[in-house]
Amino acid sequence: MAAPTEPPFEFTTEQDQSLAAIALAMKLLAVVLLGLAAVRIAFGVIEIFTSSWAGLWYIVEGLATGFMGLVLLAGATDTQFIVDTTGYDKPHLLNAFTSLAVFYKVQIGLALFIGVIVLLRILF
Amino acid sequence: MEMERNERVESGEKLFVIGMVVSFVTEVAYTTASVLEGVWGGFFLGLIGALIVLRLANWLYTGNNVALKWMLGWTALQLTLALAAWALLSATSGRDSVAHALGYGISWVPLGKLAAYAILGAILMSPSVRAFLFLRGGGELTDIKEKLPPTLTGKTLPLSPAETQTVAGLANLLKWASWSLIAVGVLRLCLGGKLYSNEPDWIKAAPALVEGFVTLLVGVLLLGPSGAFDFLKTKSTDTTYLMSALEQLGSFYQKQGVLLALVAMVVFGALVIRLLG
Repeated sequence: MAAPTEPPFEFTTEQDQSLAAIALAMKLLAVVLLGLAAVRIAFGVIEIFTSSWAGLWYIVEGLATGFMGLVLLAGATDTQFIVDTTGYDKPHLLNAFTSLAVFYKVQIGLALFIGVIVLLRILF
Repeated sequence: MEMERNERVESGEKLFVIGMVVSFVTEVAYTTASVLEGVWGGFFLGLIGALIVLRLANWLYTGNNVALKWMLGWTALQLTLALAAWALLSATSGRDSVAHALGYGISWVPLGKLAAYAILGAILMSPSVRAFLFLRGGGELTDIKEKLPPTLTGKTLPLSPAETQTVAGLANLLKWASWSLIAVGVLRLCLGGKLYSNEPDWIKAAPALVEGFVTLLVGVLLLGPSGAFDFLKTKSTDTTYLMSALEQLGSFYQKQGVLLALVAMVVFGALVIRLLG
């Protein structure tokens, strides 16, 4: 006789409501990040044409910010899937965690890049 | 437990007094500086501001909830005025701008007012100050709720060793991201200060200063969710801890969204000024 299979992990309805709010917050932040990316890239281009190649710094920062926005959007979609589907809460949650891990890896990398550039600008 | 509540109310009273003194002294200093510079608009605005702060402080000391709303509204108005004046001063270099006429052209005024009212806003939102005001308003000491340790549901998220590693990795990344943002925020503030001291031009220094301040703040705020994810790594994946970590992250994203929208507006403003200039 086969052993009884354990029911898949499932969040309660109340927890699903909180998760929907979190997914919305993630989506809104992703939109803000994409907007900020566009402004940073435009600022960088104007800086290069009117002043100096230092604008390249803003373009790189803008591209990384845009990428972070897209990754966060993927994380928000996975979080929303937890609410919308039944029986797949754990895989969707872990997918959201993976997206967040990528998001924070890029953020740390970007912070290190900006840190070095800013330090050089302060020193020289 | 009662002693803890008393200590909390006492620290709330101290914070309340500090907040009122900081905002009142700032308004008096602004009034005096305006007189010394011969800016009468600033003198009248500062005098009215000092009187309003005094009146609201007296009213608020009774624990009146309406007074708290008025004080929060006054704080928001002052923050908006200081930011608007800062933007206006960046856009116009001459002495004919409205900001100059209101005394915001005095070097320390925009930043001084921003700092003073940001401190007052934070103090008014602080739980200990709220507890103190609640008590002054006739509330009972026993009604002040203490933070209770969370009740565990006993339902945990089952994780394989590889999945446990994913959660632990995310907790570590949050911690590292938080500290790296704090470090970069401080560096950017230093850069803004250096740019301004080299050439006193707000258009050049403002993006670095605002981005530095926001980066620093985002880093500090991220410490909260980072600690909550650390709980998942070190204690258990009980759904109470899990939901607490996720909710803290969601609340953090809301704040980060507002702060980054502010940065986007400042960078956009600098972009427009550069294009027009």
